Amino acid sequence: MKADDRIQLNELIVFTGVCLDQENFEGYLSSFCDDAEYQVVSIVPEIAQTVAWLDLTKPALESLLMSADRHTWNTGLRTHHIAAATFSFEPAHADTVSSVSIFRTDAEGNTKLYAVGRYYDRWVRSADSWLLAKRTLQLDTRVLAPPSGMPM
Amino acid sequence: MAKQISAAPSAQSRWTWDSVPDLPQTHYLDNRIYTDEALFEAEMARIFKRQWKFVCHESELERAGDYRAVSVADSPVFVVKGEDGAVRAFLNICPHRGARLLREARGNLRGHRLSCFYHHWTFSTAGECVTIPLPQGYKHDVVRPGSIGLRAVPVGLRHGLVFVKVDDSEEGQSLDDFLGVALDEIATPIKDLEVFHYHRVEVRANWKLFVETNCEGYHELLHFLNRTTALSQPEYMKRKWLLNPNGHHTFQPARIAYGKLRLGDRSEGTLAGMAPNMHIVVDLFPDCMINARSTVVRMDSLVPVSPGLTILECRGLAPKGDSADQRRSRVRQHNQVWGPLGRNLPEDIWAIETQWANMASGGLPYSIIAREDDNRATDDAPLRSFYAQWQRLMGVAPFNIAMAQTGSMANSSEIAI
Repeated sequence: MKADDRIQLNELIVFTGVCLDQENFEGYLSSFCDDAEYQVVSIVPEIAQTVAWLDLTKPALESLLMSADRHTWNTGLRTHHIAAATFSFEPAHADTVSSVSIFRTDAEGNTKLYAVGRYYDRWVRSADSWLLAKRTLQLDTRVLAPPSGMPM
Repeated sequence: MAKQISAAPSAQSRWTWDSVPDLPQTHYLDNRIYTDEALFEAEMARIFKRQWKFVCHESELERAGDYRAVSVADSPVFVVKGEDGAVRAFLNICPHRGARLLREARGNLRGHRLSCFYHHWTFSTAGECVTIPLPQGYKHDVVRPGSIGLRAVPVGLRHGLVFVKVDDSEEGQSLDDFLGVALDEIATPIKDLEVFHYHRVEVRANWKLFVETNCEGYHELLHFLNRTTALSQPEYMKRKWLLNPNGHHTFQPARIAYGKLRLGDRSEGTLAGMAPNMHIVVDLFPDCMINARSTVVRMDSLVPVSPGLTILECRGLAPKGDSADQRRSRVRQHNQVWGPLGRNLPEDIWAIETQWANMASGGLPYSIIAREDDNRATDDAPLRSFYAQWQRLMGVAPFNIAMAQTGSMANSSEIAI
């Protein structure tokens, strides 16, 4: 059972990255349960605090993604490389930690590493699958160039 | 029916890009002000070193011994709170052999002492040298604790903002004279705040281009957020820019319609002195930009690195004593607009990076800052005010950098500093 769950969760984690890469926002949002939270945080030594860079409810995440094409963000093509590292299972949920590297390819075809971090995900059962109850992306990268409002 | 074609503009009114625009000299800019290396070095010497420069917020120096290390026009500086509660500033340079004293951006000095990592000379938070190891090796009185110390830098605090002036070789304005009334409109909202957010962006553009994004409301058209929640408000278009002495500006308060973008209401947790959903902007020459959006404050400052590279430092501030829920709400409201993943800031950066790339290519010799609307929201008057102060300090005409303030032509690479 746990082996099947691991395979399933691994596929779901990778799926979220593919959805963002392909701007399949409906698919991405379908990975979250209705009361889910999405956060991007970073440890900021200049002020010795863990700082939230995004802290969204699912409706707020949906609002941001659905208006993405109306903003003028220099996002280029993005590629999420995700490697699930750890899984832990409780009766009511599962927790996963994955490392993620996001590459950006600009209009001229230059590819650069954009951001590095880890997903700390909490998953809840939904029928025969899993849904994200909370995703926290902890970024090691603190200087995003060029920055954009797009979730990662 | 044949499509009607407009007549070409007359020869007198047509602007041919390479020619000087037929505008008052205050209404256009020589784009070399953004790209010229010699001019950039002169800006560092005449503006960033000789003017009062915002470096941090006093909440970053909460306890005795807390320090913040910063860079001001390539000069390493640190500010520190002493045992006596006084905030002082010094060059971050050991007077012995020039090693960098503090190598972290922030921290606390253990025992209120600062020890150079290289030869362990030790200094108090007042800048006095208190220990020189193996003192018997020095035969001269000048190399004794008490006769040598750190190089002090003038520092001043107003409304929680910490300013330094790195080059005080010429008698200049006091901090009060420099600020004048610039902070009056925002003094109450920024009282008793603390920093909860800090991030940096490496902007591939000239520093002035970022300042300009905060000096005119016309570019709100760039932002989906601002088009929807601000420009759509008749009251917003009527708000005026107050042009204060020394190149500072205040963008008078206006209400913002956050509900139009489902960004929530900001009627709770309003900062002192502000009305719900109100927005105020204060620009301090040369590079400190303060935005208050009713519940939360953004404070930006710049570290110019080269004509085409600028470090943007963004701080978010909120009242001390917030509950956890209040703070989370304010952080969300800050990030909606201004965070590194916000709806506004990345667009400004993207815009000015395209500007600078084109200016560096020489493709556009002049920029136009000719909007006039009685100092209302989309008037370019704050840009003209900024460049009037820039010209006073630089002694260079922003409409033609080869022309010194006296009107004589000069080689930009020979600007005296």
